[in-house]
Amino acid sequence: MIVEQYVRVLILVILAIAFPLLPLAGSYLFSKINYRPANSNEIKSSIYECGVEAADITWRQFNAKYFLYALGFVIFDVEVIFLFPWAVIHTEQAFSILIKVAIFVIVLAFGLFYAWRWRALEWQQ
Amino acid sequence: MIEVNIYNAAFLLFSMITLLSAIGVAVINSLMRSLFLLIISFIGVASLFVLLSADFIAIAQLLIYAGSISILLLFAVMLTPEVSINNQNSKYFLFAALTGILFTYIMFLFISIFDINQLTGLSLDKLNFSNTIDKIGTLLLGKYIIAFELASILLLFALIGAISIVRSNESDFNIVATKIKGKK
Amino acid sequence: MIKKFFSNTLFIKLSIGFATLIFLFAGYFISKLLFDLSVFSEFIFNFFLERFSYNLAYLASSIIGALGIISFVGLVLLIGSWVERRVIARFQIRVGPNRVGPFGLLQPLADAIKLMQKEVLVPDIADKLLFLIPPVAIFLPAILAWGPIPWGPNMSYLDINVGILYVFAVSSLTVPIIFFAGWSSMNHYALLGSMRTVAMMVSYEIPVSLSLLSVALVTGTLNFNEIVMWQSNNSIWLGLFIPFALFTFFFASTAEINRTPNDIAEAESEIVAGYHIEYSGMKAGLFMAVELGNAVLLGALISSLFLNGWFLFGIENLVPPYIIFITKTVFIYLLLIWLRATFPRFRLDQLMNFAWKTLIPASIIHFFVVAIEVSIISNFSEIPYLIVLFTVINISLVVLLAYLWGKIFHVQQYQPEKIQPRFAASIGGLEAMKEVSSID
Repeated sequence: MIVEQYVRVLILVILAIAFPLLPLAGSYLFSKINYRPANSNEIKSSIYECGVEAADITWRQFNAKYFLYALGFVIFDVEVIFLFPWAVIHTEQAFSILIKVAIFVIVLAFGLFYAWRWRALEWQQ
Repeated sequence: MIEVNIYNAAFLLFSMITLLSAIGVAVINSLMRSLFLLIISFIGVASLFVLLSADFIAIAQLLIYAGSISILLLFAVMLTPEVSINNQNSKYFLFAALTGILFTYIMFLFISIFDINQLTGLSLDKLNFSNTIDKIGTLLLGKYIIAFELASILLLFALIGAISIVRSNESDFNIVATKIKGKK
Repeated sequence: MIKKFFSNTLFIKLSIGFATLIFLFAGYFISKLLFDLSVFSEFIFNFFLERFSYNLAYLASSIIGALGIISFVGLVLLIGSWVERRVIARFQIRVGPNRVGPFGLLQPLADAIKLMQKEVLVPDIADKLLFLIPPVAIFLPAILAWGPIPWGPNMSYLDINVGILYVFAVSSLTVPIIFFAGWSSMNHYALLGSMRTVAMMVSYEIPVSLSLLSVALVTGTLNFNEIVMWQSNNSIWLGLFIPFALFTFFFASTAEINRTPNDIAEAESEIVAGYHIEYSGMKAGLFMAVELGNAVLLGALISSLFLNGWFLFGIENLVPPYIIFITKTVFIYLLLIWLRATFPRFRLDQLMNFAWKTLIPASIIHFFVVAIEVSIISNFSEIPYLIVLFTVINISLVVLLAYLWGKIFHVQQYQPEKIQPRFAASIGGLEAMKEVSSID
């Protein structure tokens, strides 16, 4: 039974959500019995900026380089998820299957080489 | 008619999570909140795969969609700072709604062909189908080898496209080009 | 005369020895009694099966197992921070926390109570809903990944065929949670910190997955129990057979869990505290607790994947296997503390370059080498000691590569006669260390 094992995952999910809520509930209770300070004011609830007021809006445009790294990550993740079924059956198979996988990986390694050559992997230029 | 058993109850729960969060993605104005709901929707889809006893597909869904594609979308949203705060209503609302209704109708036509009670993990368990990953591996490297190799070429094109987007200005490009020429 | 005898140091030493012997005997009998903890869940299972249905029995035994995992994680979070502070204090010639309770053992509890009493501040302009979710949600990957860990024979909570991939997929959910924590704070430092952290974690997930791929290649399975059994059947540790995968997994995982050589997330000199800068009180404490829990989780993963889990040269028949497993886990955790006390932090661009230009190409080449070796071993199974031969070849290759890598970057050889702790000696640091080690 495959599904039976995943019922246990569901139980663990419920407990994993409950576990950090316990200390948070303790913190909430402390505020209920007036043991924990809970008087926020304008300065306390402003964002932390090393003593000066925040100058500009926070949500600014970021470099497109981050997007490239994320895309590279997605591509290699998909590659790995394709390779895991091969890894499991590999010990039962001969060398011929290795060549098929080699073509798959070399095509992607060419992409990595291309990115390297055009300096897309430099964090700072 | 749908039988009342624990599989169908779980299916109802997870499909409700998936659908409600997917509706939230479309309705909510803040892009980041809708992205958060999108991740929950992906996780809901993964749990639906688990109900079908397709554990490898479920893990792949979790890894690729909830773990990677979501990061890609997050970084894409960070490229458009104004939109992320208050996403305006689209003027193509009517077309989107029409397309959605049409797609739902087609999906219903497909679903009505099958018997829903057959589409659970129970039917696979009757076949003693204990390990999916071996069979996926054998099929992927045997019968579907062309698709497997084409996938790598698709991924390569995606990477090259992203590099050409990121290559910020032409001068930078020229410096590298002259360097390569000089080496030759 | 009697008074003199009791004040004798020999008497004290004898009594300590006697107490140790009693303790050892008691420990031996208790460990015989609790040799296999799975009897608890089996007892609950049978108890419910006799009275109620199979489903309810399964549910009850699962809940017992889940509570066991949760309580172990809670215990680790309490003791781990004490261990880390004490050990790091010894590295820095300090004493560490020693006031609250015996040896300062109750210090983490006091810290937790202190954090609960602190005021919880939420920034006015923050996205309040998304601000509240991450400190709770970040526990999901940290606890879910404990599921398929094999504690002993017949003692893993989840026995699934996609174990490695499950752990990898679940722990990759940490990345968006960290991003939401930084983004919803509406703080420049937090957003910058979370963007940097996400870019780095994303880059280091690829080497982690490729090293796990070579583990799957060698063992031909993704099930944690079967990986441990493979290692004991072939009587070799995977860490010895594929040392490069062990190194890649260890180094890249320190980036994943933000431990010291790679703790870009909290580069306090650059971006104050990183993505959790706006969190105060217990919420900040939860983020720190997760970091500690992840470090111990890394120890558990390494000891089951690369260090043969609960097997240890036949000792597993004398001592409860889970004790051996936890010992190996704690050993890796102490190694992480040692790293934290020794190394400075890498720069972000160094780390990104190392991931994309060194680790990823090397891992791709490495898993091909492993695949060829595995094909040779499975095709020529009549030749004995082929695994041992490849082990020797792999280890010597890694040593050679490390040597060449050092040559390329001009890493100087360690010269003990030239590097003497002159400054520490002149201000009495070495004497101070001897004195510190005599306290407590």
